[in-house]
Amino acid sequence: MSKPSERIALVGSPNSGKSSLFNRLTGLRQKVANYPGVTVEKRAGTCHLPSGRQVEILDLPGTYSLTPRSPDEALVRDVLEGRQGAAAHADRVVAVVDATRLDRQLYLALQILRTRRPAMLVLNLMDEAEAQGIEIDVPALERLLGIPVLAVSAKTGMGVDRLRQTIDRANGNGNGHAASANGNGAGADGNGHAVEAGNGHAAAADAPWTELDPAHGFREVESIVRQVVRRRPTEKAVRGRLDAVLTHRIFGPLIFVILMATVFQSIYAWATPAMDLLDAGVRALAGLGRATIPAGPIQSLLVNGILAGVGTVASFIPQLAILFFFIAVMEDTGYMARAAFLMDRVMGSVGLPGRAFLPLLSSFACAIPGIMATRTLPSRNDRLATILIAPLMSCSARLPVYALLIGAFIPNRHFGILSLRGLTLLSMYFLGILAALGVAWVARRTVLRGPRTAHVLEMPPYRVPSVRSVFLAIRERCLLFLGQAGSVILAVSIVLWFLASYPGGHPETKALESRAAAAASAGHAGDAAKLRMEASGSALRHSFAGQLGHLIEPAIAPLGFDWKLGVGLLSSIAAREVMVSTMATMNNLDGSADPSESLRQALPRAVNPKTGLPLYTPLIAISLMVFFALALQCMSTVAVAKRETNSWRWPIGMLVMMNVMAWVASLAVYQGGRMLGWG
Amino acid sequence: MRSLDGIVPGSRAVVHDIEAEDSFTRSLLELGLVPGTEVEVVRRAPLGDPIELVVRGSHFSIRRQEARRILVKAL
Repeated sequence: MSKPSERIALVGSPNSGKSSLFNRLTGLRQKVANYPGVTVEKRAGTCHLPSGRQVEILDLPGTYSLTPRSPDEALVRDVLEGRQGAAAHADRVVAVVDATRLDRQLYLALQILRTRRPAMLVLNLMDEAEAQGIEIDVPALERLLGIPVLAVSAKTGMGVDRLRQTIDRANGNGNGHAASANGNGAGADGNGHAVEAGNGHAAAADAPWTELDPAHGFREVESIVRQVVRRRPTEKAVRGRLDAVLTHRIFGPLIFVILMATVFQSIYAWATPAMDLLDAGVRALAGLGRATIPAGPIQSLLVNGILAGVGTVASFIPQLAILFFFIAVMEDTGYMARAAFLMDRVMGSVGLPGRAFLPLLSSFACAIPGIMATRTLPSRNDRLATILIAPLMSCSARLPVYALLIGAFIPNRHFGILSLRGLTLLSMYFLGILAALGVAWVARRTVLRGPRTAHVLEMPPYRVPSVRSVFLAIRERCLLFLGQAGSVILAVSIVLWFLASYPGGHPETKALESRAAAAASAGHAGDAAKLRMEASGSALRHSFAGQLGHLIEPAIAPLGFDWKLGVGLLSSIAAREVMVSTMATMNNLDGSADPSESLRQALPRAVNPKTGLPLYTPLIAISLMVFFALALQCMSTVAVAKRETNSWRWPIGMLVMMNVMAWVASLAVYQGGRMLGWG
Repeated sequence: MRSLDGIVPGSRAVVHDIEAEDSFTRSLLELGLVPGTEVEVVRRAPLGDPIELVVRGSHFSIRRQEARRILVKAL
């Protein structure tokens, strides 16, 4: 495959169908990365031209103007000015506008013309324009602007081949239309109506080029639209009727709640069969590994280290795919803007925009898709604030831990229809939400200071989403997660495996292992299994992880936690629910079948060998639950926060903040409870 | 003269001026809210804020606090 000969940037407003056009031109040949040093994503793909040549297409973030107000908009400007360096210069610009809304979107096109970069204009959504009775005189528009203008529908594919041909023809040699953006186009239009914005000498007179005066620019747009657009009157009833329902005072919120409940239910529950299937696949592979690779460090690394890590990474994919399916559909239909409209006031009470609702809701299932969904927030501060608090929503991985501790320590008492156990669980969810509100409030006044971002959000027309773009959006997010967060998660899994498996060879473990072998050869299968369990418990207790548990015991003892819980906390770095099976192994219980059931009975009976008193009390259980509700233990969350913020600063800050908060809260619960004589 | 916030949903107004000069003002201008532009206030969100506008054929939602800075003449 030859290297793309030049790079073409797509520039357009949000909702101009720019990304569908990008998908049309590049298909599956797209890549997403981060621009160096900023949180903006770089989407690029390869486009094959009729001549056999390939060009690289850069899908720049949607922007309303070239006056930068956000990192996204600043990036568009940098690319057009060639300031991003070789990594993202553009040889030519394709300005994309929504043909049904030239009155507004042509303004950006005029700004692009001012840059005097070789450019062409795509009138996208032409099929919709025709359906709405809008006729555009394309040759006249070409004459007025002095650049090639193409009528296209990315949805139906109409005009896309001609766009490819035009890109092909206008190649690098600077002939014809492309060059006319330098200023001779407007002069050549023959009707005496010079287009100021596209006109070379006008632009030169008041450099820098971006300062197109909006009042001027829009007068220009009005004048152009008057000359090239004819409207046949049609009723635009669909939008009005849909909006009347979807943003209705009662039906609007009702429909919103039902939709959100569906989204939540699907990532929480519907993803489970797929996750179970993946889990079964990983288990089957592990079994195969144990059967074919001789027992020893290699087998252990492959099965317990690498495969376990791969399993963790894979388990997120169903949730991600489902959430991004809903996000893509809501974005493409235009519903997302209505949801933001409905929720803006509610979320505004903590200084977040309406759009932050969905990422936060998703975080109750899992913070990974939640954090990845913050990409729908246009403002950097809003995104960071949302990422910051997303892990405080009690995710589904905390549930097994809550369930274990509540089942073991909270009495099954009822107050009318309310059960004490249910209330305990509910209060853990509320604790997370309250902490999130507090953190958002503080962050908005400190690290993310500044007025709540002024929001002028476009409410685009309703559109039928295309299967192609929904599919590509899901694929893109899943691949990004696998490629970037996945590698971090895998690496940490291997480190955790090492800590739990080495140094090994402790005399106690060896003695138990040889007794297990002896029992097995003597035919006492039951004894052998029990001894093997004790051996793996002993191995874990004497591993580096066990030693680390002892090491951190002084730090967690004030919270009521012993060193075994310390090992459990360390293991929850892999995923919070791993805590349960680790605690089972630590207590010589079978960690593979249903660790929760046996642990539920074993934990309250555990006795402190020094004092003879119960090792774990209800108060310790509550302290531990509070810790789990508030602490950031999950490496996958850290990895995703790193990828989404494009720096280690934020994830490390989150680690410190949440774990300090969890420690202090647990300390207050345990010491306060003790002072009140609760245990 | 009044602010856009004072326009009853369902009616129209013409932009006269935008108070204060900052980057937000410019973003409003670049959305096409330049003096002389006709604006329609379509509706308010169920909780009263934000409001939905039509400017040059495009619909936007804008918070009332920000709408207060846009001075208009009612039509």
